[in-house]
Amino acid sequence: MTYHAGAQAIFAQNLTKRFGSFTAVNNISFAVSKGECFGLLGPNGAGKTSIARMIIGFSPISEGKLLVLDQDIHTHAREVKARIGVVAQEDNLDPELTVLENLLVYANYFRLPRNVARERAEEILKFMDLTDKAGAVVDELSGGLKRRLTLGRALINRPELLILDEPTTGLDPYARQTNR
Amino acid sequence: MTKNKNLLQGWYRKPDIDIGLTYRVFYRNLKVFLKTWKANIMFNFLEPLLYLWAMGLGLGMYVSQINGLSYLEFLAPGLIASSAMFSTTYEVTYNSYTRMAREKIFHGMVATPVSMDDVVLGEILYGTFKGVLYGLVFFIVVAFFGIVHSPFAIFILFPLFLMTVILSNLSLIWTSLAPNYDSFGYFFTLLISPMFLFGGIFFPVESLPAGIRFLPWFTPLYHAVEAIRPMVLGLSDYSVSGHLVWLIVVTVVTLPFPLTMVKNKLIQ
Ligand SMILES: Nc1ncnc2c1ncn2[C@@H]1O[C@H](COP(=O)(O)OP(=O)(O)O)[C@@H](O)[C@H]1O
Ligand SMILES: [Mg+2]
Repeated sequence: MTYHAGAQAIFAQNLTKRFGSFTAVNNISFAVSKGECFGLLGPNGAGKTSIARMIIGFSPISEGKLLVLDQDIHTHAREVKARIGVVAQEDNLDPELTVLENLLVYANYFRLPRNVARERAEEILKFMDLTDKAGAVVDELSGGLKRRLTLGRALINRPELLILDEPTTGLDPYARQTNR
Repeated sequence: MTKNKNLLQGWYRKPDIDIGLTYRVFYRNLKVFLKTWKANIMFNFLEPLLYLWAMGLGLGMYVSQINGLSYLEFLAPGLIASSAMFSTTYEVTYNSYTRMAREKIFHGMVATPVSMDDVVLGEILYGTFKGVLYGLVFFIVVAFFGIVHSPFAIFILFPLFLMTVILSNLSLIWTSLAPNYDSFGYFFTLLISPMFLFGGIFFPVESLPAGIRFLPWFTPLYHAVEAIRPMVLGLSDYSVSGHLVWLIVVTVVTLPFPLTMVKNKLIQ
């Protein structure tokens, strides 16, 4: 595995994650080229979520090397996170806000100007077939619609890298098709 | 609890704060608050109002004077502080815990350029805002009772601000340790209620038994009450500066802990 500056979205070498004495991710190496769609398969508990969390900077790595968009996420967290989109395994939408507010408030964390945020939010609602639900409180959405909104929310900053952890949970086959 | 041992790790580190993004975290909470603020404010200041009525007017009939003040005068300024205290501590325990552990909102925020320190500081600022707001609302009530005797009373903003920052810090520390909602019962029974009852609001701490008379000195509520009372009543009292210094020092000393403990709890 060799590192090619500028060509790889993710570069992981001898990556290890330990929780106390338990090793969740053991010495793995892989690289994802820019533009590539890379799938990580494994049974429950294999360590997929642990890897995703390290990539998004939510979990410090125990050993090895990890570059995300050519940068170390721990020293350049804000810059890297500005360029990635994340759909976590567990939904973490804001249940106290409406569907549209969820997108706008999230856009605000990326410092998007108000008009840009609004434009993109409307675009995403349309793409995700959620326009009718713009004013609905998130708690009223079905599981699948929540998942679509989470996916849409991850696109608000036009990410160069999209990290999806079990993104199709609860999505109907039609939604899976359109999201390919 | 073995897990919690490590929560203090690195408490001395320099926090990673971006003020603009911290404000955005605060703004998210404010946005939610503005949806329901009328009901919220009504509910929160009803309780101190009941105390003011029951104790100030009821009990006050039987208490002639405390330190040269009518009982209502003695009591009312302290209730401004406790109103702020309850507002802050409820917010930064139950509500912060909901955002953190149940709704996973913190997780969503830190997947953006927002850092965990921004999130925690935003929560502290919001807890402070809510406390100061409810303190001020109750201050207006107290003014209607004719107990505000000086224009300098507006300076109560300083002790209110400092006290609510400290209480936000303490609440978040507890929140980071809390395994579930039930544990907040201990926080209120063991810390907040005793402060409320023995922190100098209802009677001077000098009348506590000699063995425990020193205890209120360790609580933020006591110092806030002692600073607020002379400000509201327009009395000159040189000990006020001492209470303000205590509040400032404790604000600074307690701040690193919620930042570190929440971060260590969530980022593993
Ligand atoms: N915070 C944690 N503390 C201790 N063990 C953990 C923690 N997070 C995950 N694990 C363990 O690490 C292993 C990998 O989990 P995970 O990455 O969630 O797997 P996957 O996503 O592939 O199902 C599991 O055995 C899980 O119990
Ligand atoms: Mg998983």
